Amino acid sequence: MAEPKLRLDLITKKLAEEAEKVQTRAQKAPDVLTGPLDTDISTTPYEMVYQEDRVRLKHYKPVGESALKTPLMVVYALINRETMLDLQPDRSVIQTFIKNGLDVYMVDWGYPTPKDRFLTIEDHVCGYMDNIVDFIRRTRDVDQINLMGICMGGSFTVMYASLFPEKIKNLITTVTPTNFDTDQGLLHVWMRRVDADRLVDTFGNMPADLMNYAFLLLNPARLMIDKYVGFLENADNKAFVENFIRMEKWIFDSPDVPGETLRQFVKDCYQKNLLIKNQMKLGDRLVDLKKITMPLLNFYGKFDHLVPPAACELLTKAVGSTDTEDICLDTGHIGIYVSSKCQRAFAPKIISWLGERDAPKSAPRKSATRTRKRPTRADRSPPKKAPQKQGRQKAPSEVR
Amino acid sequence: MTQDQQKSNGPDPVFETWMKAATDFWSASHTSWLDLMPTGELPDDFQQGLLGRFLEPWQSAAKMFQAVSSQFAETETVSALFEETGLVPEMAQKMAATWWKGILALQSQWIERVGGLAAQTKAFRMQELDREAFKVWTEFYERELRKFLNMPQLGLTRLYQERASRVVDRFNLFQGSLSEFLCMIYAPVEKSLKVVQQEMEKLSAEGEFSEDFKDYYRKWIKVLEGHYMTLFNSPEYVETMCETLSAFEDFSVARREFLEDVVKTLPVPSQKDMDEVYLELLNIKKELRALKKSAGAA
Repeated sequence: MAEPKLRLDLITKKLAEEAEKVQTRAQKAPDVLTGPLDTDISTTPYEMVYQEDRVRLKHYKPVGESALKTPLMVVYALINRETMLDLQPDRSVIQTFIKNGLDVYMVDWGYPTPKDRFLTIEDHVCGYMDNIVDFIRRTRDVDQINLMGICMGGSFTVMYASLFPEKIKNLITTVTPTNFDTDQGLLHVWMRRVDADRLVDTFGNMPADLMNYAFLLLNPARLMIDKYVGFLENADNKAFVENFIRMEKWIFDSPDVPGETLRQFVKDCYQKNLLIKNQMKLGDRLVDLKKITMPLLNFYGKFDHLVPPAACELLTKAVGSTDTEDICLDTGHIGIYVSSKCQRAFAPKIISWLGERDAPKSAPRKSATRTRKRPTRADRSPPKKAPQKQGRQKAPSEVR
Repeated sequence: MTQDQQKSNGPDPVFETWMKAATDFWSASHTSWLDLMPTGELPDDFQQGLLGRFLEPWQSAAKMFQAVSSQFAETETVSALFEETGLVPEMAQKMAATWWKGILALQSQWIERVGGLAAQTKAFRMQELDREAFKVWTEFYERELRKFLNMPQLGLTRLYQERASRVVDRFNLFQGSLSEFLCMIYAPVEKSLKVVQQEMEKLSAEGEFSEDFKDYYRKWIKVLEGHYMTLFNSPEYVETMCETLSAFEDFSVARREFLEDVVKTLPVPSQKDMDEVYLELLNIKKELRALKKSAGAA
């Protein structure tokens, strides 16, 4: 007798096995979901040391002795929250930093309200950020700080570093869009057609729910279907459920984006691509990337669908610095910070890179140059020694 | 087919018959109301009491209605009324006819579309997306119905009436755009299911049907993802997305203007009022900070 083409017996056997698994899972899942779950995010202790309007500054003190003289200031994007860097204890960039002796300050942009709708990029960069940098420099008795930016926050740090290069010792950009003239990412395709003026004039601040919906639409198959199928398949696994809920908490914790900031970001960056062309203006000030002469470390993700490599990789060639390095990780937009594989590549690299550049300028430094350029005048002249001020470190809370 | 035959096959005869039947019903039914009306007088002692005083105006109204209705019982009166005013007001008849034609046009479009869905589908082909079905509704609405909402209003409250009409108009346009957008979003789901179904049929015919249904789920998700990427990069999608966003913005603006009229009657500041305050506050803050900085530097 010929073998039947459709092995119904095997199919039904498989179905029965699956049904049994589903039943077992369905029995355990309610216990997990209704039981105690550790889903808190951003659990690393910090001190709120500065506040100006809705913007606050969190200070994460290093565990043990401070390994570096220069504190690190981290600037997250205005979209979503900075809590992603401290999502869970075993996947926390902040914890890795402070365990390795980094003194970290992180900007909390807060939740914009209708009264923030007229705040521009200039207000954020030359206002809030500059005030915070001055606060850190003042309270830590340093002339310069290390600056790290993430996504749109990275764009802000690039703008800041070009306007106030004397205040920045080292610059780190991660998944930072600086070149918007690419069709690699859907956001770039869509933003070019969006009427930003009408959007902002209608809504004021960009509603967070609208943005969340737009981000979900970038990949509805994975983000709206497959993700939750995966959750149901692992609903009886407490650790999985906890991690999932943490991620859900973060991803839908979106503030509104101040209207005027969004208007300029869409028009000047996405539509006119002024930043990489050194034509972007914040108020009267021109953002000239050539003025970025401090060392630059630039991370991006190979599979980043939001900020594709083409949007990030031109930065190191556009700046005036000779000490630049690009690192492309095999991950997506968020994976750089939360994937266990990247935890071993990302934060330790930053720590070692900063460590090599934290020594006084007179001390010999290990070369980490990846791009060769004609030396600038600053390189030819003898290095200045940073003045060493004696005294206790003060970190009073400051509220403006 | 002769013109008479075409006319008799089209919607007009059905519509006219329906209208005639409706009119016959309403003209005949009023005569039966007369039987339901009270004809007797209430007892004196009851009338003199409080309850009597409450019922007296109702009784007067009933008598008046009876007098008017009895006029309608005269067939000559009814015939004269309907002859003079027409079977129904012309405008209402025209509106009803327009609705009827529009509904039939939409129905024929949908029937065609459903027929098209049964045809063989190719993977990752978004060119066959049928936007015409929604264009029919939008065009029908804009051509036939919108003009009634855009009619100039009269009187003291004309501005408020116009804003109310504008909200309804923008809402209808937004609903049309949104339906088109959602249908476009759903199209890859439909297509990917068909592709996987065809794949399953092919595999079962070749005897390579996998027992694990998860393989087909994973295949479906992958195909769906690919379809969405193709769709989202297409100019048609970007255009529809922008149109929907634009319609939403129009509706939001119209709704806000309408609500501001409502809010004016309450002791509550409107969005516009608050925006002016926010801007002034922000400018004052900036000036103050600049002064503080320069004072500190000095």
